[in-house]
Amino acid sequence: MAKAPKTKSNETQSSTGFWSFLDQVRFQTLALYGLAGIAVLLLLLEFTGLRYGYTAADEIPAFYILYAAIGAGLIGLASAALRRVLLNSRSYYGDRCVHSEKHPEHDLGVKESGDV
Amino acid sequence: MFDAISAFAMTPVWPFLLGALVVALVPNTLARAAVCVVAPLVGLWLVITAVDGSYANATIAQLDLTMMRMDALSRLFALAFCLAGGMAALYAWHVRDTGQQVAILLYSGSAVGAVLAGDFITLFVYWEVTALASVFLIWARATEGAFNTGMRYLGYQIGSGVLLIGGIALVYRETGSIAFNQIATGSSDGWSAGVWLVFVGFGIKAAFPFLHSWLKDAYPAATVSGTVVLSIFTTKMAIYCLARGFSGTDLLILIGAAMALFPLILAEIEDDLRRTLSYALISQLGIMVVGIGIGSDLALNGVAAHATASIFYQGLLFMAVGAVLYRTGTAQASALGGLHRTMPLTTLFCLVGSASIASVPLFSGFVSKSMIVDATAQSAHFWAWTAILLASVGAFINAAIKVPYRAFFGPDSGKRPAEAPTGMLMAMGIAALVCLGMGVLPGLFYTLLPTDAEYKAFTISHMISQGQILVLPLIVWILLNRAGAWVVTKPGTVLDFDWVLRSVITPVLMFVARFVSVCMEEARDAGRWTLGKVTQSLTYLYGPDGPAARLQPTGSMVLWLAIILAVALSLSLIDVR
Repeated sequence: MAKAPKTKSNETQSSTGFWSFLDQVRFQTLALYGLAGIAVLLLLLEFTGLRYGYTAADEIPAFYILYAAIGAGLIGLASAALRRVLLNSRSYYGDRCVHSEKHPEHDLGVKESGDV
Repeated sequence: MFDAISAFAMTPVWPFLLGALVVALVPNTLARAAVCVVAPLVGLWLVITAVDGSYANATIAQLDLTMMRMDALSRLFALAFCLAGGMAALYAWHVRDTGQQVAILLYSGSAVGAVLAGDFITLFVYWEVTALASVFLIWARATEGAFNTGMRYLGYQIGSGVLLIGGIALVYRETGSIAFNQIATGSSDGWSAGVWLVFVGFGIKAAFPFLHSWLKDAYPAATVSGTVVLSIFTTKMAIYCLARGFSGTDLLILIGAAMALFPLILAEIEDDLRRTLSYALISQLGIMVVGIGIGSDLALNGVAAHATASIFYQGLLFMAVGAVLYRTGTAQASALGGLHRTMPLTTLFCLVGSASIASVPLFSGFVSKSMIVDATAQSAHFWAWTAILLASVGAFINAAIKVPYRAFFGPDSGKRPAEAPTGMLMAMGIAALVCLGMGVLPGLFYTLLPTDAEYKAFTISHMISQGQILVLPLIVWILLNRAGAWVVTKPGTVLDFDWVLRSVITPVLMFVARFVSVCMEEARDAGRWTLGKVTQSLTYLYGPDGPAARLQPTGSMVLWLAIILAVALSLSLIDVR
């Protein structure tokens, strides 16, 4: 069973395959600018009168953009904060619990890409 | 009984039952796998060719059963269940465990039977069979932890059945009918005990808040294929029942909004990707429950459409993560990453599922969820609308970003697993095609919906607003990740409401049980002591040496008789008036 060498970061990995561009930091930065550009474009389109919805909130300029940004930020930050309280050790419920078990081999077909 | 058998033979459930019987008896592994795929497809054909109406009637114990009620709502769910059943069986093609194969067929067949049931008794029977058959998909993991999880799961499922049958009995006593139609609507004030019991019975399987922990406990504990099958049927069956029996019930809007929101943070903290998807599933169910509570024609169409779409996109995500687990031995996000290199097709299918749950235009979620969102906006429940919007943002972050990023992209784990087996890839391909088909051809999909409400998903304004909902969370996620402020998952146990059950309620119940046991022991000792004393007294009185056994003189006996007669005479002279 030939195991590929383990790499520590995306940048040092010699990427292959269709999705390899996603590993490059340059692409990620480019994607960020691209997404920001799309967001600005969508906002501008909204101001041309292409406003959607049935509620009073739809009349607020940039409502969806603001709501989505604040919502995503809240979920991310609240998760980071609550993890300290809610996350416990694997054996929290004892040893006879699936949390502290490995998935049984009889249900698996572990195979590496080089294996025949 | 012959009536019941011939009525059952008219339903699309028989291919599943016959298939299960064949699978149990046939030793050939390939034949068994083929039967598991073919049986749901025969069921699918029977559903497609079935005519509308209520038939397959039988009378058992003076109760009129209707095993087949075919209308637009039941047809859509039955179609989705049959197709998804076949898809799941194809995914499990590699499985050689007869028990799992029989369980898959019985479980999917009984779910089809439940959504076609025209009466409560038929519904209850199928309701219980789904519970009993599905637990074997957890126990098939064959570990002590899985056995304990299965017992907890069974407790919830049987508990739901007990509440349901109790409610049915009370409703029958009130109305004299067992027909399964609209049970309640509007305000829940004045509901009878029977209606409440049926409601909570449905609510357990729909994973209402505080009744949901079975789902996130059991689904990640099942086998690789078992989790996929579990994700398809039980909860959607409950959604169907709520839509059939409780549409327009105000209470459901509140419950649904809570369901849609509370799992968002738990899903983000969770390291096990199958558990993350379980939370995402609860959130999606919450959106459907809000739609049922709104109850308008558009909302009900949205519920039916979103439940159907959810069967496939949620199933697809569970299948992709299952394939990762199958090949790497783990579904822990912290142990994965960079798998796209050697699992490109699984990655692609996962992205289709992600795009669907995130409601990206041209994918199924976009044409289904938006109906519920718009129906809620059109109602007077502004707060519920904002809750659904936030749940949409959360679904995008939890299921559409976290799952593919942590498994297939992200920091390289060094794992180079082989691509998923052909059966798994074919099943994922079918699910992906369905997700795309619904999204690209919504007009065709909408013809299957239960009401005549018209809806146009592809308007420019809708795509702009949806685009804004999708782009901004992605930007926020990238920025917070770069700043190191986004949550990094770690292996562990995330505490949910089951902490209350396991750490508070269970010890209290154990204490009460011990107290009752001690009390019973004491009562038994006291009874034994009392009985001993009584026996001792009786032995003293009537034993060989007791006063009653002694010989008495005749004169004494005559004297006592005279006294008794005198007392009787005196009493008879008393004027009772």
